[in-house]
Amino acid sequence: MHGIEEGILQLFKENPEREFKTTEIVEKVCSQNFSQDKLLKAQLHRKALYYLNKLVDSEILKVSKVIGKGEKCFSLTIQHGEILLKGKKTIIISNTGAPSTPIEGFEESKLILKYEIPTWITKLNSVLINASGLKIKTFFTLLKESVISVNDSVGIINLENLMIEHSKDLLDKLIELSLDYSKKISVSINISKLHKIKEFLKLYVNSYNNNLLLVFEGSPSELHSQSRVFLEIIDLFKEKKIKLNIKNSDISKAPYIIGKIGSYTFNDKDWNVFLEKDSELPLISLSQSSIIVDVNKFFKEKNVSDFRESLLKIANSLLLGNIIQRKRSDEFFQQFDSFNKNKKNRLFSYSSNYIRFWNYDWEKNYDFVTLLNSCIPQVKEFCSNEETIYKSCGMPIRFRISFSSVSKRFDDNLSHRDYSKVEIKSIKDIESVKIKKFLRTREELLDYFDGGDRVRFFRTGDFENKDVLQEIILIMNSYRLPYFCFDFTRMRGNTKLTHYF
Amino acid sequence: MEAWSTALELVLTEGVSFKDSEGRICKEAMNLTITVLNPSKDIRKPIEELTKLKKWTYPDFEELKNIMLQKSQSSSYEYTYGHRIFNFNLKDQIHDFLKPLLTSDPTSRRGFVSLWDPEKDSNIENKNIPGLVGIYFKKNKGLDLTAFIRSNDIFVGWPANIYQLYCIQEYVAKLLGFKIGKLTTFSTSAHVFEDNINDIRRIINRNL
Repeated sequence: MHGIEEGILQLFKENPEREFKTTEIVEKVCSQNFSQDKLLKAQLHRKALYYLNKLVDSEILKVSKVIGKGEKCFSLTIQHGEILLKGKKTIIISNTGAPSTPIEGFEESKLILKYEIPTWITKLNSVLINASGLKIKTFFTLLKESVISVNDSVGIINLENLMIEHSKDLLDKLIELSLDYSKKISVSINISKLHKIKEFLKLYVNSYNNNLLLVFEGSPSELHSQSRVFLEIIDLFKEKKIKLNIKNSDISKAPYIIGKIGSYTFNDKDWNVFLEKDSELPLISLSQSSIIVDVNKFFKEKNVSDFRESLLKIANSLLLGNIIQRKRSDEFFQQFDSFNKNKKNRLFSYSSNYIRFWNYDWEKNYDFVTLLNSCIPQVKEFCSNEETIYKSCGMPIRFRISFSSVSKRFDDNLSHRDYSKVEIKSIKDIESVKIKKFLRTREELLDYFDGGDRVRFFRTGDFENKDVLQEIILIMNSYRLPYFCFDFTRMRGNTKLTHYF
Repeated sequence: MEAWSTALELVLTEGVSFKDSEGRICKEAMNLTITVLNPSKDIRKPIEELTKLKKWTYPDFEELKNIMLQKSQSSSYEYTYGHRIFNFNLKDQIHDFLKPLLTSDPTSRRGFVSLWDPEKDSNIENKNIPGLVGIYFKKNKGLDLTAFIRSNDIFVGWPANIYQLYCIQEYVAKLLGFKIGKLTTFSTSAHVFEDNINDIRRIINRNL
């Protein structure tokens, strides 16, 4: 496939609903060669038109109108479904019939971003597989369907039995699918079962890949009782500089799933209902769509009242997205029906949409926590009102919005993050006034971030595995942090002990 | 439109106030019957009036119709009326029962379609249960439809219900080659919420 043709298709892939003028296409597709020189400009124009006409002949594009002095405008011919173009490179274009949303102005100025625009309706952000009782073959099939159907991550719980029986095959498949489909797979490990899955963990560390992540889940007492095995794990992870993700089940019972943009979780009340009523379900949706606010950038251009208004507009946009997703769920998510059998209507029963914040610094300019305190109830009320309306109309839908942070700068349009780093030289520093204050604020923030949040500790310098275990147990016992990680990637030199958050 | 606005006024004036389990204050009139004589005319109007308020995103006509006529259970809804009507424990109540019944005996008084599933709905824990519990079809001059609605928000819910019922009435009438007759709703709990009273008055005044 020629570069220009590929560029044109990429443009429509990213904006399947839009109509583009020829000039606009030339500017966007040939931006590197674009020149003010009239002759060169005309040459590029002719080249682009050649490929545009080729795509029209193939019935992929159509001339939607002719404007001005005969300039053609192009749009996709497909209404929905997917086009698969085979060549040296495969490009999949999907026209979702995505609705216009009231945040497009904010999106234009990159203050607000939809996560994964091309698939923000056709795919889910994240699903949870409950592997309890699944045979390996069924699990592999479900896992494959899941990675295809999400645009961020697949969470897995109760995988320990399969880890014991099929360690190598299981690990190979997990890595293969996470890499092939470029998705995160996040597996919750029950700390009380650690001694049974040592073999799997060793294999995991030796063939470590960043797309497959483990979250060790348990209470401080469970961790204490498994300390011998856990010390070995710390050594293994430390040696390979793999992040050690810890979920404190004394603080939250619901699993935490790591995605590309941040963490996902259920609220504990919903999770209890799931355990009581639907724990036999092999698959449920965790998150449908996410919209991100670049807080720092937002407040450079707008004020508090705009922020408040924008959150309601985001909520409305998510609702509009969900409407299309619901209408076409049989088309998008039918593959899950056979797994949930007579309970297929429970797929979205515990699901949320996410509003995520990027680059928020509560110590600067504005009181972010107070702001959330006043804005979030409005959004929750909006969701509850819409659920009531739909229920009154005989359409019992679930429409929830959870709040969380963005943990990684996944898009170049996001501002550069300016965040606090706190250094600690010994375990006692975890209880220093400065760190305590920092962690207490994170705890406070977690009252609002009901969709989960993560605190990261960069562990540096020389240390023993027992130091790390001691620190983890101290954090678990002292702070209301459901999920945190120890990051060994910055270990170096003679620094004694340094933590960054 | 006239039926809706009269019903709203009646619930406001005759309804008894009480607080529901979620703490919302309601006005409730029991056993309210509303009959639309010519449902083909202006059946969409109440929804259009609600949409004009621009307060919420109201379900669109396409989605409302699909809920009523779509036979398959969708993963997006706890239940759907269409699934209960056309695929209730694998029974298609329209094609396998109503059609042969009214074809062989057009004046039959047995044309009842049930949407209440005691197995699922008679469960204290389950709050997502259908408001519309049964539909009665009777051939008179045209095909009349009477719907039994257990709990009915007359302001927000009824406009959707009446449109959905019209969709199924039209579907069955076409299937049997009958004309469309009257459309009646019988709401055991007909209520409105206090939060909506100003908007309700606006609708009533607009249609005086």
